[in-house]
Amino acid sequence: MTQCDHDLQTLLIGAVPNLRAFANSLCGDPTRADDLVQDTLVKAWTNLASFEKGSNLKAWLFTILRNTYFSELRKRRREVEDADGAIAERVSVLPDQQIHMDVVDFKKAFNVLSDDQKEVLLLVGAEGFSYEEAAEITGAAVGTVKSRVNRARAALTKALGLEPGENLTSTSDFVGLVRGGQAVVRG
Amino acid sequence: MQTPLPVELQGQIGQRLREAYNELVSEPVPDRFILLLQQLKKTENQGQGGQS
Repeated sequence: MTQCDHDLQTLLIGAVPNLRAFANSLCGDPTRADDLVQDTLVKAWTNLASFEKGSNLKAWLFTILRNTYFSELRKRRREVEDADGAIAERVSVLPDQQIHMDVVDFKKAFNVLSDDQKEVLLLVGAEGFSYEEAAEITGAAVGTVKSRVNRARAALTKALGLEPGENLTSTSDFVGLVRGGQAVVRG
Repeated sequence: MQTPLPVELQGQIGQRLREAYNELVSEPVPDRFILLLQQLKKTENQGQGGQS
C-alpha cells in the first residue's frame, strides 16, 4: 500500500513538467497554469479510485487538466461575455509585419489558434499522443481531432507567414525557400 | 475543404512546436508540487478511508 502510494507519488511528480507545459501553452499564464496543475494533482489523488489500473496515467491526468481548464473558461466567458468584446480581442489576428521563425514569434503565432486547435496540436504534435488518445482526452471523435489538427497546422503556418503565396508557384520551390529556418524574400 | 500542407512544411511546424514545448517541459518543477503531494499523502494516511 505504502509502496503503491510512493510509486504513485513518483509518477505524479514525473508528470508535472508535462502538465505544466501543457497548461502554460493552453492558457498562456504561468500563474494560472500552475494553479491548474495543482487542481489536477489534487483531483487525481482524490479520484484515484476512478483511474483504471494499467491504463494511461498521463492521458488521464491530461484529461483532468483540460476538463478543469475548459470548465473554468466557460465560467469566465459567461461572466465577461456581456461586458465587452474581450474575447474577440484575445482572438484577434497577428499583424503580418515582419514574421520570422524564431521561438518568440512562434509563440505569438501559436496564440492565434483557437483553444480547441491549441489543445489538439499540443496533445498530438507536442506530447506525442495518438489521435485516438487525443480523442479520448478531449472527448471528441477521432475524425474531429484529425481535422482540428489539420486546421491548427494550417492556421499556424499562415500566422508564421509560411503559407504559399500567389507569387510562389510551386510547392517544392516554396519549401526550398524556407528550408534552413529562414524565409527568403524574393526580389 | 482545406488543402493539406506540404509534408516538409508540416515537419517544420512540428519541429518548431516541439522546440517551444520542450523548452517549457524542461523547466524545473517548483517545490510547491512536491510539497503538495507529500501533503496529500500525509492527509490520506491520517484519515484512512477519508476519500468518498
